[in-house]
Amino acid sequence: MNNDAHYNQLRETSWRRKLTEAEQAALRAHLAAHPETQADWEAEAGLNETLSRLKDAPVSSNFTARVLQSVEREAAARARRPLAGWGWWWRGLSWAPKAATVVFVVGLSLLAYHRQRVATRVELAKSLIAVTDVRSLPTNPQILQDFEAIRRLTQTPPADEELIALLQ
Amino acid sequence: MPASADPDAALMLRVKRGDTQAFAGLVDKYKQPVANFICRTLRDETEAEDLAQNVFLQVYKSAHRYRVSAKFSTWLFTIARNLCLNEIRRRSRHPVESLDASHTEHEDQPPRQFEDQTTSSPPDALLHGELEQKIEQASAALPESQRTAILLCRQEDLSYEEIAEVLGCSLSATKSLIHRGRETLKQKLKPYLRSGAWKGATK
Repeated sequence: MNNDAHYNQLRETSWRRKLTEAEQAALRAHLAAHPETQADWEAEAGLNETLSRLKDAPVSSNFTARVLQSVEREAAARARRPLAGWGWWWRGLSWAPKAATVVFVVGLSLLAYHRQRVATRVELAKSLIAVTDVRSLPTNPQILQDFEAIRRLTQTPPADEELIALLQ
Repeated sequence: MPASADPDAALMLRVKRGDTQAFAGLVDKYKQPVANFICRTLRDETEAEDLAQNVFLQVYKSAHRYRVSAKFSTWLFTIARNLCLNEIRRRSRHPVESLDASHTEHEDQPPRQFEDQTTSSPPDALLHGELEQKIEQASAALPESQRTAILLCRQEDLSYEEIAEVLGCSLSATKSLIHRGRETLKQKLKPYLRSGAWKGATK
């Protein structure tokens, strides 16, 4: 089992890079002791070699220059965006400040909405109080028949100061 | 991971501070590996270079987010893979007919072939060219995760742990992907591997 594990380790190493001299020696020793793994190793080695011989993709000689040009265009475009315009600051933020801003705006909106509802309820309550006061008036209309006379009786005339002075 | 352990990370920290020379150095170093990766993933030489340029543009734009917690190459190939996946999704929504695909009016004509410029005897060159074509076809037929795992495996400076990070899966899952992909390739290329065609013409 240890030998299999060692062979597998060498196999996996060969997938990534060429084996060192020491590793190749260890592999040869393993293959000599376990000839049944020879065919498997040859297939692995064949595939490794084939993959390494694949031609490079074509890359223009001015590739780096073109990338730097793209970077300069990007930087110039970013500088041209008007600072006073709506959204320039938003684009510069990473996701955390954006999320915080959204939460803040939504929270403010909810708070304003809640206060509006509370104010409306207060107004409604005041209206209810007024209606309640009206409801406490006597319901018998006869009581109100001499309303005007009774109302005048409650209106006391101003004091006659001259008469008061004479009586004194 | 300290920047001193990864010279590319040190360059990237300079890029964060606006050093375009450092950025040019990174582009020069990785343009070929990235182009190879994209070309093999998308099987499109024309698009590969354009997409490779986009990878580096994305690297520059994301420089402010770069953290020295992983190797630069791991971060770079993660960006490359994500852009490839976006392109694959875009193509699946808007399929484009290949110019190399045979049309009904030209079915009697053989597919276009490109001359192999390497110096080798004609039979070896043909066999080598055919093997390359076969391996391209075989790898293109693999599931994307297996193909990507095998391609990243060819990047010598990426460890299996780093490949797992790019793929977003565990180390054992990564090795399993590579193993299964290779078994499929070996099966499909068995006649060529047995014939020793892979020992043929030099690069």
